[in-house]
Amino acid sequence: MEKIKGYTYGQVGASPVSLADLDLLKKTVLFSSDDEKHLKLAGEVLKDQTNEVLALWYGFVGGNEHLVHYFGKGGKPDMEYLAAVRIRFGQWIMDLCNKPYDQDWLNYQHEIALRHHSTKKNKTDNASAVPIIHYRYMVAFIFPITATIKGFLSKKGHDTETVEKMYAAWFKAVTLTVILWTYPYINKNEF
Amino acid sequence: MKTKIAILFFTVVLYSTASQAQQQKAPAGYTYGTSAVAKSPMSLEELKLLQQSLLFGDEDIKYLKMSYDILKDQTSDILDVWYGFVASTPQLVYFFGNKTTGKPDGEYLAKVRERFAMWILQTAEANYDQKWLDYQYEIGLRHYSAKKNKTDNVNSVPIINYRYIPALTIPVTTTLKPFLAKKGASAEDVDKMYNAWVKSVLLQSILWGQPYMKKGEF
Repeated sequence: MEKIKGYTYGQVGASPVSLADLDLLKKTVLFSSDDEKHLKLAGEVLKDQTNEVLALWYGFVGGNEHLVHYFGKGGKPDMEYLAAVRIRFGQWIMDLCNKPYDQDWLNYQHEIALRHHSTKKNKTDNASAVPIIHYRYMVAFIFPITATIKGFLSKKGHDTETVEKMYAAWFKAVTLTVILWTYPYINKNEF
Repeated sequence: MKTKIAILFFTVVLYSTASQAQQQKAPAGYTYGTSAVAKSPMSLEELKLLQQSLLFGDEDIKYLKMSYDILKDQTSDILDVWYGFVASTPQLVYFFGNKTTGKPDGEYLAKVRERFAMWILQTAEANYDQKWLDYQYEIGLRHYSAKKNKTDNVNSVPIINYRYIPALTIPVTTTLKPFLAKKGASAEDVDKMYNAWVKSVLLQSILWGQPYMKKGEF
């Protein structure tokens, strides 16, 4: 498999969130072993569709000036930066569905968090875009990337109930993940 | 005929009195739209962009309003489910605990519950104007150390940790769906109401997060 530039899964610092805290958070979002099973299935369904999924998401970002803002400076989007992120974004879809939510996964969520935050934004791709993605838009993005996935989940002939279960699992997984990404934005001890 | 008119008159008067009473009797600490609520640091213009990012539009307003009539007499049953979930989830009931004994504070839970019922109706009314925006900030502060416990004058833990706020979007909206389906709406309408609710609850949890964020990062 071709190496993805800046994709450092398994080679990053430790997350400040413990596995025990992750477990409590999973319970709060009602994430169960049934969700794990349906996420795996979603991974199968989505693996040859990530390009189309990303085309849709990038279309959405591109159509919203206040979102594309984060990929550029002075109102001009950095195409190279957008393209580099896109490849990792495709891998993120697969990781969300396929990886076990263990210490490596938890650590990498924190790395992704730092890359949205001023701590590490732009550094991976040596870009010169704005220094931070604001918290509110990062969390808001949960909805469009969830709502738009349903159409792709139903493309491989699964019955409605199975699609609904994959969709629910996806929604929980994305919410869980994005919550972890907020860590660097939050005042000390308040996460 | 006269009797019929009298009954009708009586019913109308009684009904309107009851509904007015319901509107007038705000729960303790419910200060929506009053001068006790400070202005949100967020502008309506910024709110609009945030709604746009959530794909929240006029159709969602329409379906939230549709949910109002469906939910208005079910708030107590909904809260039974939500409180049941909180009670069975130690990491959540913790936030309602007495700081000294660690035991859940029944009075605190009961007071919050009354305002929670108003919140359901307010979310469904979907008048997301300046007053609403200001009140979201107030709710944020009441989860946060700035104002937690103060409204009800209780001795509980000083803050609800941020991570549980957006996490609750899922149990709240998942358990709401059956209630949306209880009054004979079509499956399509139920789905649309549900989606509008997911967006609104997510939007609100984002707004409630404001006090927790480092300066300039919201």
